[in-house]
Amino acid sequence: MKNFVTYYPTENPHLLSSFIEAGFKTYLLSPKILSRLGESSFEEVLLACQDLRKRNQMIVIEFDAFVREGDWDVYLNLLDDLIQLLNKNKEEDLLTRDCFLRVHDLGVFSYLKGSKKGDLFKGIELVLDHGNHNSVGLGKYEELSPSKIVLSSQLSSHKLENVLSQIEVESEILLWGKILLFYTPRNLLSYQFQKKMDKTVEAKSEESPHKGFLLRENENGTFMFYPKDLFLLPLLDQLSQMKENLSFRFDYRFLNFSEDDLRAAVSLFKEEETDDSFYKNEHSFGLFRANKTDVLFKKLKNKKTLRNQREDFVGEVIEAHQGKHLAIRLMNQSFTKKDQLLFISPQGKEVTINPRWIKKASLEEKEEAHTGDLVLIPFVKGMTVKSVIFKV
Amino acid sequence: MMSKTNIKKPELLAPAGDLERLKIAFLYGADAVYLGGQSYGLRSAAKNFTSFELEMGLLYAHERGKKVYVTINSFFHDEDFEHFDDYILFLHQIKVDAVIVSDLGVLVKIHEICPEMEIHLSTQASCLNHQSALFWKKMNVTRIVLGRELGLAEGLSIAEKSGVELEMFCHGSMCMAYSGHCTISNYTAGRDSNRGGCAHSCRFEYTLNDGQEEKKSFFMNSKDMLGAAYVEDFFKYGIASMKIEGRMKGPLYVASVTKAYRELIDEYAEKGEIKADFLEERIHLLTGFVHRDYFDGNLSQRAKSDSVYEKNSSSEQESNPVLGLVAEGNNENDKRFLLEVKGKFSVGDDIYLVNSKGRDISSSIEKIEDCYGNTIEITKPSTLVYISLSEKKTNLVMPLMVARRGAS
Repeated sequence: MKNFVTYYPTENPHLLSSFIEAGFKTYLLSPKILSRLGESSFEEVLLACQDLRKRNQMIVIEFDAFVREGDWDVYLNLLDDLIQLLNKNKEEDLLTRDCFLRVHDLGVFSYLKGSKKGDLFKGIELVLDHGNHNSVGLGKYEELSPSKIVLSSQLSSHKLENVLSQIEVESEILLWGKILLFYTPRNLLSYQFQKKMDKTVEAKSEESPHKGFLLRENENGTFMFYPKDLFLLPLLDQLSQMKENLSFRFDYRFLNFSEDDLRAAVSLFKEEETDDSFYKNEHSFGLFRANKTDVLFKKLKNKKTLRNQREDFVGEVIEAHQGKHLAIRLMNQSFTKKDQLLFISPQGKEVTINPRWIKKASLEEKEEAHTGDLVLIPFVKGMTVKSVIFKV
Repeated sequence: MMSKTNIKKPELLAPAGDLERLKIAFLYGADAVYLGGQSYGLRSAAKNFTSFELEMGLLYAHERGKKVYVTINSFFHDEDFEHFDDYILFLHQIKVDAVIVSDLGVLVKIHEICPEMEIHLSTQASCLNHQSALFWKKMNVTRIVLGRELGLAEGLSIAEKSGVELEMFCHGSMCMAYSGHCTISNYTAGRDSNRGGCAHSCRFEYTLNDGQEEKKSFFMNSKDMLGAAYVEDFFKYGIASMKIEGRMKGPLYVASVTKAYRELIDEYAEKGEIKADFLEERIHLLTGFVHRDYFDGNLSQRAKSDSVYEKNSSSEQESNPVLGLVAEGNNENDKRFLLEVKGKFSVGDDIYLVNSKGRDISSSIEKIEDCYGNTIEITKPSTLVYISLSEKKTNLVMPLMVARRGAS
């Protein structure tokens, strides 16, 4: 049985049965402010918890906002208020004991793991969805005993499989939903529209072909989502084989689904259902098939003149005086008139020469040039400023 | 270092995009620089340092009692750890004063390889509260570069509650997002913003549509931080290090910003106050190069609507273009100095040499010659020329001084 996670349908609680029927077992609740994108009042969270507990479903409350030092007491007091509300009927079992708390801020995580407040919850989950792409770091986080870690959507299948093989803690990835690109504490939309912005705004780049970015603003700041949905559902079988305790999150909140669409989307999680004709949004596998985002940038550099770790690197040409001299600043090595020097121009042309003479800029002759010196040597045809020099 | 007012001076930490700018930063008063090797940093487009240059930079710094911190602040994937041991051992061998990291995996590895290596936490890790600081302290971090979303008073609270040494930015460009939490470049430009490939998409113009209204705007483009007016608070709030952003910035920026903050720190340390006119002069210095409009960052209050720079950053023109860098200084016998030319100028033009202390040397240019004594009327970039100034008094012109156009 696959582990599906989704958001409790606060606005359409009657849909919960459809989710349960499709195999969803875990439901996220997003209280305002504590949850970075949360919209539920604490009372709504309470009702949802009671509903879910009655139906024997797993409950996860989000506290994934970042907490700045000046807001620490505000957020922690809000958490206290929520705990108090959830546990108000102390004769019964404490409701928080049936809830996991999902935390993003390391300070909040660390604090709750070491406090009685954290013990009130069934477990504390840790969101590691930006960065944290290596098994060394994830292994260290595992030692802090989170009940689950939420992994980054930037992990390609190969890398995901690799990190999963090296950690034991229960993990979760986004299977279907919007990819969050950007999170700032500044209220960028209300600055622009000169009013409180509680609805989604669409943005189109004027300097690149990208359009359809979704933007949201709330008390925690402004959030920007990638135009295409991440849609890994067709790869579910492959993903399920990676690890038994890997969960898959369906975050439908910003997919602009009608109730019927959502019902149809939920039914896709049943193995026998394959009709996705209702799903018109642009979607992709994100970086799952291949994440080569570190490759392109390297290509932008001129490899021919890229100073490298070679020990024989001497320096760079800073002036090419046609027919007379090349001025060189020595960054490494020293050389004499007898040494052979290899010049490589920015265009890739290579020439090897012995400098017949070495002079200071004042034209005083020198026998040897040392690191840090600025010297003139005879002009070398084809060599220009920024040519690099190596000692042969 | 203790000042006359008996308050510990914060360290002034400047960016060094290459060996030249490292020397410039020290010439203009930095106590320490931060820089990147040719791997593992977040500024892939900067020239960065080869191993040999790192070694040279360290020697140069330590001979002058200065410090060098090396950034290893990209977020690693497993394959990035290949040859990492060698790099860390090399950094240890050349005695770097600290490394700056963002990723817990990198931190753990460095501590395993070299337990005595001092580790600073990068602003990319978004340490925003005292509990987070305590967490990183347990992870062997000795200094934390706080997120730029925090103010100085919040820094004080974190320092007091965590006991960790803190570094805060005082000047420069700002990410709009929580640093390290923006992946626009990854998905739109195929470049990993957290491994050195940030495409600065937040500086782009966008059309926003809320369903009723459509407007074009540079809505994600943050103004630059100017913390000159808060130098006193850096002292009072016990912030150990004042950091200047800008490993991609040029020599004039490094020289001017380092000089301005050096003088502000020294003035406050010596006199216990910074008078308004003294501050104004330094702020004037900080407007002498290309920058976005300034705001206070979050240093004194949370960034508001006026923190957005609603203009195209790339259309800004340099107000005082750099004319060159002094390659060889002058002396009693030869009043000429050798300039590595970066911009066009001619005989009779005014030139300003950014002095490491006090007012800049300003004069008109009397004579320009090439190395063979031939007179040059108009210079060309990427050439070497000897400059004679028309001033009567001979000012000492030192290597690496930045020459610029513009007003004093």
